[in-house]
This record gives sequence, C-alpha cells and structure tokens, in this order.
Amino acid sequence: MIRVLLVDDEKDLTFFVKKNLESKGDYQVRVCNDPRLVVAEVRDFQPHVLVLDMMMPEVSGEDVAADLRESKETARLPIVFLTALVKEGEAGSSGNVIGGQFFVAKPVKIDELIRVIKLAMAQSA
Amino acid sequence: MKLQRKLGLGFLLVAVCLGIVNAVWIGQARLIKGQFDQFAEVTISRIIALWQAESSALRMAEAAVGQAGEDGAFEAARKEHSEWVAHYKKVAGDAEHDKLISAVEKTGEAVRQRAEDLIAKTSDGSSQAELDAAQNRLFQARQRLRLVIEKAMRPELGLLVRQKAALAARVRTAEPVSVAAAGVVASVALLLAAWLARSIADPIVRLAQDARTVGSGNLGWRTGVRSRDEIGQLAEAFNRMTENLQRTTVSKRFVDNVITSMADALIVINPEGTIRSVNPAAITLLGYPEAELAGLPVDKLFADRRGGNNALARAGLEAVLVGASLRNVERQWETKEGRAFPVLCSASAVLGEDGDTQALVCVALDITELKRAEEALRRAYDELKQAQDQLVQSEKLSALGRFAAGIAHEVKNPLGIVLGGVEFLESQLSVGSNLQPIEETRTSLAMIKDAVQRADTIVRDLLKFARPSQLKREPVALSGLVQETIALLTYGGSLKKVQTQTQFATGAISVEVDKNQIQQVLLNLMMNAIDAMGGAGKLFVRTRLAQDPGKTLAAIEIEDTGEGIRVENLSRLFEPFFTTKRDKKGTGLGLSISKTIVESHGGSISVASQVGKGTVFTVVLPAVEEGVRT
Repeated sequence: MIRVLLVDDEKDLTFFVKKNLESKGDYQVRVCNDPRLVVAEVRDFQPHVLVLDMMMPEVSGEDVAADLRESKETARLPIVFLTALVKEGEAGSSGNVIGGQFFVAKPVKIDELIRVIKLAMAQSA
Repeated sequence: MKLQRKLGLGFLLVAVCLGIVNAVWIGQARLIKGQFDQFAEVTISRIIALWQAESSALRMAEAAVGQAGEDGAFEAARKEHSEWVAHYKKVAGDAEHDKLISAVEKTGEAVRQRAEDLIAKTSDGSSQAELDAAQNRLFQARQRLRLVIEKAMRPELGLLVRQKAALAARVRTAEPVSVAAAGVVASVALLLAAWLARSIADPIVRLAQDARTVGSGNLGWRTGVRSRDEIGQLAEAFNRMTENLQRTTVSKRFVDNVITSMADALIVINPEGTIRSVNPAAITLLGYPEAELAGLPVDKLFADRRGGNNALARAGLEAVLVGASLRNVERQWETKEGRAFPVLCSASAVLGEDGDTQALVCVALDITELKRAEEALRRAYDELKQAQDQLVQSEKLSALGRFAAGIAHEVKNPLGIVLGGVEFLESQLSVGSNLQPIEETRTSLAMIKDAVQRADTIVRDLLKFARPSQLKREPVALSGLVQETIALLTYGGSLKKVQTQTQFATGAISVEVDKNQIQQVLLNLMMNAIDAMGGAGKLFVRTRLAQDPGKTLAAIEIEDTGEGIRVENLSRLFEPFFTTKRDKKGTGLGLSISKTIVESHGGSISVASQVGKGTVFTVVLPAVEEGVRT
C-alpha cells in the first residue's frame, strides 16, 4: 500500500486522479485542496510520496516544497510536481526531471503519473 | 545782367541806330526840301509871278485895244496883274530885288494907266489918232514892262539852273549817305545780333541740346551753361532736375529690378480683369510668351476657376477689387499647356490717390514641392500610425504571452479534469472491473462537461482580447470592463496570491471607448501592479466620477501595495522602453502605449507612488452622460 498525498486546489481534478490511482494500483490517496495544510497533512498521513501542483493561490508548490525541506523529518519526502507549464513531450524527453525535480505535465495521464511516482520513490530509496 | 535789361538795351540800341538812320535820312530830306523850297517856292514862284504879271499885263493891253467895251476882261486882267505883282513882291521880297520889284510895279502901273487911258479914250470917242497914240503909248509901256520882266527874269532863270543843279547834286549825295548810314546801322545791328546770340540764344541752344542728351537716356549729363542771368538760373534748375530724375530713375530701376528678379510670380491685373503686366518669374511659371499674357483675362490662369459673369469673379478675385485682400490662399494655376499646379496666392488692390482701385496685384508662390513634401509627410505619418497600431497590437499579444503560461495552466486544469474523468470512465467500462453506481457515472460526466465549458469560456475570452482592435468606440459600462479584466487575470492565474478588492461608484458609469484597447490598458496596469508586488499583495481597483467644469469624467484607480516607484523615475515612467523591472519581461512599451491609447480617447493617465508603500495609477476617461446617446 503506497500512501500518496495529492495536493491541488482543483477539486474536480483531485477527485478523478484519486479515483484513477486507486483503481490502477495499490494506492491509498489522500486529497488536500488547501496548500497551507500540506505540512500538517504530511505529518499526519505520513505519505510515501507527495504529488504537488505547482500553481496554487496563496501558496505555490515551490513554497510548500521549501517548507517541507526545512523540517528534517519531511526533508526527504519524494515529490512529484504537477505543472501546466511544460508540455508532456518535453517532460518526457528530459526524463521527467527538471532542475533535479520530478515533473508530470498537465493534463495528467494516469499511467504517466504512476510511472513518475515509481521513479521518484526509487530515487529517494 | 538780367535778360530783360540785356534785351532792352539791345532794342534800345537798335532803336537808336534806326533813329540815327532816320535822322540822317530826314536831314538829307530836309536839305533837299530846303533846296526844293528855294527852288519851287521862291525861284519858280518868282518866275511864274513875273510871267503871269507880264501875261496879265498883255491881256490888259489886249483888252484895252481889242475890246474897249469889255471891261470885264480888262478888269480881270488888271486884277490878275495886280495880284501877280503883289505875289512877286512877296516872293521876291528882299533887298536884292527891291529895285526889280519897283521897276515891275512901275512899268506895270504904266501899262495899266495907258490901258485905262486907251479904254477911256475909246469909250469917249476920241479920234483915231488919239487912239493910236494911246495905243502906242500902251505898247511902249507894255514893251518896257516886258523888258523889265525879262531883266527880272534873267537872274531868276540863272538861279533856276543853278538851283536845279544844286538840287540834283544834293539828291545825288543823299543816296550814298543814306546807304552809308544804313550800312553802319546794319553792321551795328549785326554786331548786336551776334552779341545777343552769344549772350542769349547760345546758352538756350546749348540747354536744348543738353535736354535732348538727357532725354535720350543719359541721366548723368549736366549742362555746362553758366551765366549770371535767368538763363544761368535755368541751367542750374536744369541740372538739379536732371539729378532728381537720375535719382528717381535709379530708384525706379531698382524697384523694377526687384520686381524682375523676384523669385515669385507677380501679375498686375486691370480692374476689368485683364492682365496688365507680369514679371519674368510669372512668365517662366506659366509658360506663356509675355506678349500673350498682356490683355489675357486673368481667370485663364486659374485652373480652379469658378462660374461668374466677369474674369475677376471667375478667378475668385472680385473681393479684392473692393478692398479685401487675399493672404496666402492655396489656389491652382494652369500653364499654357493646361498643366495645373498648386500655388500660394496673395492679392491686394492698388489704390490711387483718390482711393479708387487702379489695379490688382497678385503674388503667387509655387508650392508644388511643398505639397509634395506635405504628401510625403502625410504618407510617412500614416505609415508611422500603422506601425504604432501594430506596436499596440504586438504589445497586447506580448502581454498576452506573458500570462500565456498561466492561461495554459488554467486551460489545462479543466482539460486535466476531462482527461481524469474519461480515464475513470474508461476504467469503469473495461472488462473485469466493478461497475460503479449509475449516479457516480452521471456525476463524473457532469464534471467533465463543466470542465469543457470552463475551458471554452477561458479560450473565448482570451480570443476576444487577442483579436486586433476594431477601433470602434461605443459606450461601455466601466464596472463590467474592470470585472472582465480581472477575470482575464484570474484565468491567467496572476491573481492567485493577490487579494483583489474592487470598489465601484454608485450609479452606472459608461465610457465611450474602444473596449479592446481600454481593456489592454487596464490589463497592463493591473499586471504592472501584480509585478510590483512580486505576485503577492493587495490590489485595489476603484471607479468613480471625476468632476471637471463642463465635462463628466470617469476615473479608474489601480492601486497596489508593491515596492513603489522612485521619484526620479516617476516622470520617465511613460517613456517608451523605460522600465524599472529587473527581469526583462515584456516589450517595455506597456505604459507608453497605455498612455497613447488613453490620450487618444481624450483622457489622461497619472501616477502617484510612495517607495515601500505602493503605487496608484489613475486613468481618466470622458464619461457618457446618463441617458445621452450620440
């Protein structure tokens, strides 16, 4: 059972991603639509991987990641960023890694997401 | 000496000469007369008296003899004789002749007595012998008278001859004397004439010659005549006049030169509308030979002539005739070949001393080149305007590009939902999966539909903004405009971290604007505000009515809590390519173009800022009056 914390302000999106992930694999997905609560949720849920949208109101994905890095217990949590800024092809060609971070391009294809989650988890292991 | 005196003197001299001649002639005549008098009055008179005395004595005797009874004849003869003797006495009355006179008297008396005696005797009836004796005595007396008269006559005859000779001599000498006198006078007269000529006529002739010289064009010529009389004065006046003429002609020539060498065309027009004279520039410009232009109706020169009943009216110059003047009016002239060209025309009336219009003078400047330059300028302006429009459009697209990223993201979100939903439904429909309740499926489909519509709206709104401006001005509700702009920014995700607060004026405000362009301005200002805040902060957008005497204005304020703008940069803010942004996002033309757009709508844009606190931009636009439709 892989615990995935899914962070995106778009409720309808998280609804489907959760449904798809859970139906495709042994995933337990918790949804968080408010980025300010992420750190607390991480502590509480103890996810194996964090799927994090980049562009959110009030607090961006980068800010959340920075917050997590500050705390030792959360510093090593693998993160997969979701972003609309990069075309799917681009993300793929660079191995889904940009600047040392894992990215999946929006709109999210579930198979793609699963692949990168595996990659991120493998790396941090 | 004065001319009068000279002439007077001259004529006086002539008179004197003539007088002398006359005197000479009169003198001569006198002398001749004197001699003639002597001759006629005296000598011949004496002779005639003597002869008549004798003749009358003879008749006395005859009367006594022949006709004793005809006392009438005797009486007449006696009377005659007596008269003639008296006459002789008178004309011979001087000492020399006394003796002779008395002799004649005596003998004559004797004749008379004897004649009377005879007559008496005859009438008495005396005897023949007595009669014969008386008759003899009478004849003797008569004979003695004859002798006396002969004696008296002799000296007279001698005198006669001598006097006749003297007279002849006198007459003979009179001729040469007169001629000589005349000759002398003639010479004097000639001398006088010469002198007068030299003194009077010569200078006049010379002056006349000088006048001809000056008249033939040599205005530098001066007369050399000098004299102290009126002629001298005339000469002086002549010289002064010539000098004045020279000066006037020089200045007239100068003026002529000015007109001739003028670069602009000058035509003088008669009040009837025919051309009176033209300068060389006009001839060159119009391409007519000078002779053809004179007398030509002036409207023939104007390509833009209009209808009218006389040449001046057709040329549009009739107002000038009555005192109006044209200044720098653009007209069209026409060359002889009919080619029209633009000129700048000025015309005015030439007034005589009594205020009537003698002529019209018209000056024309060929502005073909000027108009060409004007045309080129207009074309350049149009091109520039086009370039500006393009720049505005590209700035807009550039602005668009700047939040394309955000927009892409926003569009991709709904797409993500669609994809997720579809994948979910796919997994539901694949073999071997547990079918979810119909409700959930319906919900999923509904969510997918929503997402699609959301994407559609965003794209549609974007397209509306991206479309090039139609430059149509129409009344637009201000609050709606502001809200749409904010919506666009929201789509772009720019306002994710920004607290937006709007405050609209009570009552609807409309502005007559090109919606697209003003939206571009608001977008630009709002994006600048967001950038100034680093993407996070407070954005205030307010609309209100602004008051200006006579005008209704709407104001839009865009305020941020960003870093502010330094005082020294405030004035340069609207300069093209001026930017305080550290990253080189955008064209640098946003504010400059915004200002252009606002001002072209008749509005204004201003900024106030405090470093560290924030900035507020105010856009003022003419508002449409409520209920007023243009």
